Amino acid sequence: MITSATLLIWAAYLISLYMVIFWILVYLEEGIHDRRKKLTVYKKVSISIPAYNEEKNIGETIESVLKLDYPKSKVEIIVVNDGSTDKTSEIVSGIIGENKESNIFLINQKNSGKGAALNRALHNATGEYFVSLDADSFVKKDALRVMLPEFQEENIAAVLPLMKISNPRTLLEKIQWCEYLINFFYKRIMSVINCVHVAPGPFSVYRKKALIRVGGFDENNLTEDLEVTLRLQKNRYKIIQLLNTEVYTIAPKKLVDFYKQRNRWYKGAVLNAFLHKDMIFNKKYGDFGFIQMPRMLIAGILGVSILSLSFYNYVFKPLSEWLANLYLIDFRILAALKNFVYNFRIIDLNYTNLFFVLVAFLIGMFFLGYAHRYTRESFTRYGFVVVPAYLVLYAFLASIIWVGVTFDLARGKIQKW
Amino acid sequence: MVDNKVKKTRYVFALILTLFVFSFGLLLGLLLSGERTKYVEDEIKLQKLDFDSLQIQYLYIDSLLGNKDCDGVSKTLKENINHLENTRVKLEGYISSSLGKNDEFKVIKREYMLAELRYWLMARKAIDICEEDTVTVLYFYSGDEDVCPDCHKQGTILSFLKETFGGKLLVFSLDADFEQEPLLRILKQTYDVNFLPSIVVKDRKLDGLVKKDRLIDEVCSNYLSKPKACMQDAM
Repeated sequence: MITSATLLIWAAYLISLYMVIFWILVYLEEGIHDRRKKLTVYKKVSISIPAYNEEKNIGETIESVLKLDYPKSKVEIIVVNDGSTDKTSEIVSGIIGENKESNIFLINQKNSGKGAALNRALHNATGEYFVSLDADSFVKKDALRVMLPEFQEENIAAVLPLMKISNPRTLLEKIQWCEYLINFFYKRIMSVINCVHVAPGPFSVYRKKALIRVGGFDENNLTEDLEVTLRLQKNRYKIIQLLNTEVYTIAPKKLVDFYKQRNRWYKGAVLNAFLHKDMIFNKKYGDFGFIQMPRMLIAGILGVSILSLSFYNYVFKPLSEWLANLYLIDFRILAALKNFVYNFRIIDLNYTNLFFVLVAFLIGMFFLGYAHRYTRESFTRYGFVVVPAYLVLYAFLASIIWVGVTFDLARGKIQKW
Repeated sequence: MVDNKVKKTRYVFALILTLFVFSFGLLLGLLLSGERTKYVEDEIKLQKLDFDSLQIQYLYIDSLLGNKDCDGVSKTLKENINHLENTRVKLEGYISSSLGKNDEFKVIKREYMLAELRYWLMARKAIDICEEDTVTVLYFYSGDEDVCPDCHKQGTILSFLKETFGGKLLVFSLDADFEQEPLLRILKQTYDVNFLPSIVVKDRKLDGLVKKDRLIDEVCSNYLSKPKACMQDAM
């Protein structure tokens, strides 16, 4: 019998499969184009670092910027202290003192949020390019050399680097390590047809003119980095994701922090998608409106529904029935098992579902393999457990967060950053 | 500004590929359904032959005077009954997970039910001829969960009892949905079966879901010499 649960699972599977096949086609048709372009002209770059209680990492972040392979006279660093209550301000002042030949500025302001901090820096920036850099991220020294030459056309508003987790130690960090590789490979494919939907905090390089033209950052938004990207897309700008240069960022080590971070991200994605819902399926905004905007809205629902419905239908229900039956025979498991093993035939298996699982697995392997290849990483850099742990646990973790997000949104709970 | 021409061909091609993959999966399911049908049909054909073979053997034994050597043929009978039951359970499983085409299965189900009746009659005669201390049980059920929600549980309990009593207990499952089968109707009348599941132990009817312990007591009360399964206290 085809139950309603089966139909729902198949519908969700069909939509997900379509999206993935679409992106695989883009990859096969367009390729990745990973070759570096040569930097021939040196324009001024303003690097803004909004900081709130980042005494632990801000030193290292600024150090990585100072080490950038780019003429110091053409770089200005604007640290915006968003009302920190720790030693952030003192540490930065100290660094300014030690590096008098570099252009480092510290702006202290009352706690107003990351969007406001970025706008403050944007207002005071004198460079042609504006870079947002999170205070817990460390950039590779060739970053500007590789990213700036990509601004070949006037309508390119932003260029983004590959993000990797810095020194993953816990299992949770290692799962995120793997996740980032795959996500950014995915984003690179999307970038080829200009479907990038978020320019994350760590080292996104913007053309300052474009940012100012669309009105800067939204100061009341949960995910201002995603929101400004949507606005740039709305104004028909191009956003390029690169894989050939890297920035390292710190990932949450504990499940609680991980949950909070992802809850904010997913909620922000859904809320911002609603905010710009006029772009959904709108051909005026090209492929971005047609496939990326809807994806932002429903990706969560799809993933959660497939997993939870499948779990309920194929694991929970039969298991609980089995246990109830065992109870009737006083849990004489051996008798039941003997009967099952003796009677098992290969045609007892559900081939349709097995096939669908196999397809999903193969696609997963495709992305896993190519992601590692194009980000120049080996599967076992951080141990043999990383890839299996990612495959088994990630979907489960993501589902829990999406369930949490759904509950929050249903209750109207929208917290600030 | 960006050239926003949406490349329609890619969207369409992706859709075609997706539908192709999905259809292939469904096709595999249909193929599987065909394989399963073939399997249960082949099995019932073999069962008919085995039944005929046994029938001839019992006729011969019956014709002998004096001590009847039943051991070999009795063992074969019980194996056959077991095998028939296992295949029937599989058939029920295939029907419940099939994606359609239940009519074909219905015809096969009827053949299995007739086979069960045949073996039940033979078992009664065999017990008589060979003077065996074996208990036969008729189990009236329905594979439809709406008609008989307890049947699944009852089936589990019966399977457990078969495992415990081995050859000393023979269970014959009759699909009470086959109203049009005359013998089935007669049996239901004879034993006054109105409710599903119903179990008839030797000639006594038990209504509704019979739990393990009660069923064991009922079965055990019919033995001349109690088997080991009846002796244990907390079964």
